Amino acid sequence: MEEIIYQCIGAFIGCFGFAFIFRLHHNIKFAFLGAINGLIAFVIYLLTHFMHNIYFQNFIAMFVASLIAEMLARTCRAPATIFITIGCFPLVPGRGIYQTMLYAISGESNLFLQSALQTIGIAGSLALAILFSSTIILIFKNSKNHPYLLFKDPFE
Amino acid sequence: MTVIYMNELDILNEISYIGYLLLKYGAEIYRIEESLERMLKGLGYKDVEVFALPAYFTMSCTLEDHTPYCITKRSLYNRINLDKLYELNNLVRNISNHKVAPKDIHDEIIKIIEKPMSHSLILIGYVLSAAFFTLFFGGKLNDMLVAGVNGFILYYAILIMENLQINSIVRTILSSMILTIISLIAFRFDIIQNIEFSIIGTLMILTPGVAITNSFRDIIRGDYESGVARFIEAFLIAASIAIGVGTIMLIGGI
Repeated sequence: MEEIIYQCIGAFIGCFGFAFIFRLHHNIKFAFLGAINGLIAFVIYLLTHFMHNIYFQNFIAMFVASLIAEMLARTCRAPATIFITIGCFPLVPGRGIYQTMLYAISGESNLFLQSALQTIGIAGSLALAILFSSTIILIFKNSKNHPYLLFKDPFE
Repeated sequence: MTVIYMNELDILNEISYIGYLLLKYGAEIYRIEESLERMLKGLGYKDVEVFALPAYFTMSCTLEDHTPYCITKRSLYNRINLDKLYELNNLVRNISNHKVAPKDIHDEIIKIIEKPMSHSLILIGYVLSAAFFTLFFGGKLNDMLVAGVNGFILYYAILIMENLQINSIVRTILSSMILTIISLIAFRFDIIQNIEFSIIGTLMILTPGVAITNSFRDIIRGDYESGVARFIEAFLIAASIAIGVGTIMLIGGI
């Protein structure tokens, strides 16, 4: 339990640090919100541990985080990328990439292949989650504007 | 009374400069295409086509007197700058909603460019994220301290190497070597028990985790060219990190 609390603190302040690295200096409020978003993503990742499938865990965590980011973007009138870029740091496979390439240069092909596939899978599921949530926002927006246009042939 | 006559071409040049800035401050490909398209259509130009790749975009439209217009811009040294992206996003929205008159675009751009950024905050960011991602990956207080020192030195190392215009692959190899050497020294002097934590915590700054996720985002979206280009870039950076760390570990005998 203690370890999890340390990890959460690390995720939160680490995300905050990355906001500064990405030159978010004049809008500290966004940095704070993005870091909270990252913390939420990590907590959801931990809570879905019962699934025993890291791809699914990553997908759900990133999905919720990017939905929150889209909503924050609407309320703060800022691009959603700000909150997604800062918030995805606890989930992105930084360690996986490093481990993969370290296996590659030390000649352990089996471990390399295993961890490369895992890294690509995680990155893919994160990207899919971000895209899914932005699609949901798009559906809401488009169906509100002109519901009768849904049955029109788009290629006409 | 002097009348400042704003040429159509001047407006288009300013707009393409906004595109260049978006590219330079690390906006996503679809955002560049969308923003330019929205601004040109908002200002009433016909036949608007925009195509962007990482480090390149081309934009064409037809002027009011039916002259075709096309411009290409390239930006090779790009760096994510969320502050400027936020400001530019507001500017783009205001231009396409006619809240900013075309003759004021230039002043607005200058205002955005000249907004200062604080170098000490970036340094704090390097130290904080290195130290706390070490905690995140299971390090103790000693590991965090070493990682903080790593982050501090890494900031200046990267700054100096960028000013010397060293190629990004070589830069990544050298900076990952530097941080491994510091961790190795701390390990040899028994300051830390496990060399792994402080290295991986500091490496979070260098590893292209976000880049690889963004490249997959581009690919799934349908921007295959930019997605593949970014994937290759991320792959090469990851490989150079491993080369840097692996070499020092081999020499240091770990």
